[in-house]
Amino acid sequence: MVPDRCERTTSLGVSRRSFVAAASAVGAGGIAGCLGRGAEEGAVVAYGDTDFQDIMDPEGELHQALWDAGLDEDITVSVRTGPDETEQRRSAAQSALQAERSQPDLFMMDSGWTIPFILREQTVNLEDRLSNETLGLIENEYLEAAVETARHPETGELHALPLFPDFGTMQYREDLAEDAGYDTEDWGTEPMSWQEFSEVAADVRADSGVDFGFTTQAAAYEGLACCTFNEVISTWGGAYFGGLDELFEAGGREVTVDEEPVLDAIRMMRTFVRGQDDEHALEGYEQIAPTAIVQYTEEDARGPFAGGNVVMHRNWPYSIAIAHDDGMGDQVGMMPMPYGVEEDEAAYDGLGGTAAALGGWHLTLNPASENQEEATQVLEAFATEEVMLTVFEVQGWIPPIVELLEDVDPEEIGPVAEYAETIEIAGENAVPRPVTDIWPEQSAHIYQEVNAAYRGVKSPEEAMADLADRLEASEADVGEQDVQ
Amino acid sequence: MSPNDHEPTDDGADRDGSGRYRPDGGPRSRLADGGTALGRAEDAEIERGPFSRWVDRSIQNPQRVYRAMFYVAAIFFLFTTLFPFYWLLMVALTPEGQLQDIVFTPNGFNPGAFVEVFQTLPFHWYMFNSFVIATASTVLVLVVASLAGYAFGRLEFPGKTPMMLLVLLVSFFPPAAFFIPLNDLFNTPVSVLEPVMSDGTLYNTPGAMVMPISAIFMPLAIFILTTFYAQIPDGLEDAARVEGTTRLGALFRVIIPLSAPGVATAGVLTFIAVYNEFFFSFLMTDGQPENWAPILEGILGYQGQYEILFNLMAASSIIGVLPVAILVIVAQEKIVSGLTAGALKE
Amino acid sequence: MSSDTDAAIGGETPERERTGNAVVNWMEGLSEAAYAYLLLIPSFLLLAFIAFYPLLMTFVMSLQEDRTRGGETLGGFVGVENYVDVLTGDVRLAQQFMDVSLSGAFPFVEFGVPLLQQALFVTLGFAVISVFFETVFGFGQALILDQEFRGRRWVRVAIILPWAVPIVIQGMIFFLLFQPEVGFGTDLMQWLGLFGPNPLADSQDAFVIVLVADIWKSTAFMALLILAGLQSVDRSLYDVAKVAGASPWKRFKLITLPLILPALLVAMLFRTMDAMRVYGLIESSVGCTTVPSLTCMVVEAMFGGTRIFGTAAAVAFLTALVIGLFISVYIVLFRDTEAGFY
Repeated sequence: MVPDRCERTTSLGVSRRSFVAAASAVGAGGIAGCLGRGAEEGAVVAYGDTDFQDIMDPEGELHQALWDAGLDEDITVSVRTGPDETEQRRSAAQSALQAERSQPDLFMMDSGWTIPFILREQTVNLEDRLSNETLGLIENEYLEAAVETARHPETGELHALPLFPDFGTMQYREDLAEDAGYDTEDWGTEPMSWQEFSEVAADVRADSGVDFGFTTQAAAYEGLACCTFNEVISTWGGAYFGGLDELFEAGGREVTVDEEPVLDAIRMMRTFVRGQDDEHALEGYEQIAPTAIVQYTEEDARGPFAGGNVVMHRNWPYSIAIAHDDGMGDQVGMMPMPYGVEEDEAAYDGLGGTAAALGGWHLTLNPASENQEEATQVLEAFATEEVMLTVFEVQGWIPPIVELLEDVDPEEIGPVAEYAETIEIAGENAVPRPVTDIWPEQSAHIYQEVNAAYRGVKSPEEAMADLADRLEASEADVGEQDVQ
Repeated sequence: MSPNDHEPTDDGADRDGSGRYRPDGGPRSRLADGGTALGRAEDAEIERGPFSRWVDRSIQNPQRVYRAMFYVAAIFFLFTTLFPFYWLLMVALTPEGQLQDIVFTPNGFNPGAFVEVFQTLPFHWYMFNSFVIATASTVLVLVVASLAGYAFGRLEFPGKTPMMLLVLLVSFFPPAAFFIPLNDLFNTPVSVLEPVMSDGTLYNTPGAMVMPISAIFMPLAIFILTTFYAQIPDGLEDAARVEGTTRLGALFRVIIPLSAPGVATAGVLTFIAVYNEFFFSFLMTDGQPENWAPILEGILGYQGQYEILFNLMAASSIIGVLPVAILVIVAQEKIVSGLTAGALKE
Repeated sequence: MSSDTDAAIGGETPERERTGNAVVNWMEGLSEAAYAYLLLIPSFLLLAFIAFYPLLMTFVMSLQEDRTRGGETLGGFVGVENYVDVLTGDVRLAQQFMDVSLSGAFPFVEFGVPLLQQALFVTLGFAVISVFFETVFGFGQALILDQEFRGRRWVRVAIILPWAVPIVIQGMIFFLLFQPEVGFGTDLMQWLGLFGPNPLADSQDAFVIVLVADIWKSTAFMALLILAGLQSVDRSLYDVAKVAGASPWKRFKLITLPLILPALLVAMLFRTMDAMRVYGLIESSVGCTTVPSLTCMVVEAMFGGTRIFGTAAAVAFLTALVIGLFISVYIVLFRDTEAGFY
């Protein structure tokens, strides 16, 4: 029936006909794909990280709290994830919104990169969507610094709902400090100076025999520019762009990175790493950190702390939550970030004294979404105190209304609540990064130069002079852009 | 060096029987007494150290040197290629949070990581996706590139050189250069597709990855196949044609089997490259395993926002490499099936 | 075979076979050139759709102004301004394409930023050094695998295995090896006096780490292709040469090398192009900040969070131009090979 030549086998020992058939099936199936995978009716799709996906389990407490808060019971939220790292999430969000895909309906956006999306018109103005009550709550009760990173820089309109703020904190080994003879009772609420901090760290390290006095993140990555370096210069009263007034509008801002407070901050960090041997060392500060911090990001710095080998550790609150999980709960404490100059002595208003880098995440609405009604309802439900507390309970994310932490019971709700007072202080002194449409490029200049200065490759003056040149060039460039 | 440099002789026979001359005529011994006392190679051995003896033996029998060099080189290459894998295995076996000072042994022992890999994420699903995409791409590339390779390698036609350069041009560009237009293209609803895909786009389908990736790896396959197809002598193809094979038939039944090493190599290289491809896969799906996300999404899924589960990444990559290793074992039989001796009777 | 064909063309074949034969007959009748074009249609169609069209669009993007804010992705037409800006360093990127200026005194060029922090030189250096070592080692590996010996199959798999490792994992292995607490790489290299204390943060040390990582993996690619070439050489040629008294070196030089030259050149050509497009390895091991490459710049411009697509497209095309110029050497070499492409 079938001519012989079709039966002739290929060198693979498979009948050619069936091979071609199989290959084309795989190929056709491969190219055409399967039936569409739209969301089910009444489901709002959100793009978040695996933590968000975990707490948004349809059977879980959070969904129940959302329904209790007024969300229509027909509506459920399903969370899609990708790699959890913040840069990759931003890339994924950017390419999805660029292509005007209708799903996901909601995006979890890092407060450190929400504003560029707002400027690119890839978000929805929530002033028209949310109820007056909710808008009032946000305006009056929510942490102001967090809300500022969710507004359109020029019009002031709200384009994102803060989901939770995050603050840089100084964590430490309370037990070791006590053993060395220090009374740590006030440490949770009274910031100490960096000088005292370095003395304590060196002293406790010597006394207890642990490897390091202090670890923080100083690798050449965004976290250095946005957070750890930003914190340190703020505590010295310095700033990138002349204070906190012009954080979110790029173009012709004054660049102040080459001023003395910033230089002092760098000198202090160099002293922490290399002690008085460093040619730019600051008198009176001790050597307390390993040279490896110039390669450390969050987890690298946390490793020694979790291993019990560090006295002081700068990190986000998640690190202390893990410490409690690991059984170190009794040993760790949290204190506000130390300061370099007092508030009234600072060069710029609102700086000096303790400071904490502002992190955290917002929720935004996809302008191309086909479920905007339902998604808005979800946002409304998140903007209630009960839901915020439930989020804190199940995940440990700080509520945007930070004062709520005062009334919670740590036993019931989770270890981070133990440090409510310290966290509130951090919230009051939160310093957002100057995020604008060109912040990513400016951040890269900053972390490259600062990392070079920390490593001793450049002097602080040289590094900051170079940085000032580059930042000024970028400010001038963006000002020239012709935008209607 | 040995004081007795000499060419090997089979039984000590030499030119004039005195033992003083090398077979090529030169003087043999440089001993102080001119070699009268110690004329022959074997007698002189007593005076040499082990190294000299080895050198002497080597010169007598070069095959041994080559064998020794062979073993040394083989062991060197084996060690350098396998040590990082071994180290990766050590990382995989180290329990989470104890990743310190790994040299030759894991820091703790946690073979459970290999099970945990599947509990944390549906990793087998990602592997399946990658496998399907890689297979589809390899088939597509091999078929299409074979046609092109035949044309470039065995046919003459105007515009051949510019067309080859045009193909090569694709490889000058980083994959990122294609991305933005492709992103728009694959997210544009096409009415034809709407019955199949609810939003009528190719996003989240294997097609969104198979097509760009095949195009990216096409130039390499075309050039490899061109090279190998061009080397088959015309005589063989003519013989087949005389016997009535069609033009296409000649390609598939004569040229390809005879170029098995080249075809198998192109296939293996393409499969591996697509299987491990990251760029388009990351951007053309939303990362869900049911949406055809490939294996890299799975491996990167073990990275939290701050914490990275290196042991699971290591374990999952070891598991992920297994299908490829199997493919290589199967395909390498083809790679080494060279031209059958005597096929060419010219 | 002929009888089958006759039977197929002859009497009792179904309708489909006769239609198939019409196409086949038409194909047989084509001239050589026409047949060639026909064969090239599938590949060029795919490439046109997936590669040429997007590249054209990207080129058009490169001629337009960036727009970091506002609903429009790009501004107006600005010609080659983006290219000029990239070359002069007046561009909104943290990494430098190149930073040289002319000076009066010897050596007549001044490097503003250290050599290994300029994308162009990192990329060129990386390509030249890595391909050199990979070719040498790959040749060695292929020669070994070409021999008959017991266990050859497993040695072959072992040697090819690095190529099967995803780039992210390759980067991760070397990252962990040199991460202070985790791996022993830093300690070992410091003991040997080769590296400083923080190799992952230092441009020179990190460059070496990236080189080693790439050589480890990509030698397998070269070995595979060279092996395929070696395996295609007719063994009888060697036998004839042995009988004629040629030494192994002469056999290699006069038989092996010329016959595998085409495969070797293809391998080197593509390996060089891949090396010049290195990105994933750098990002997952030492980071683009420490060792910038040309593709690092493209990715930073395109996916860095600012929307500077005009600049990104210009960097992409400049990268392609550099690669094209660099490998024109190979194209000239191809002209002389036995395969006789041109």
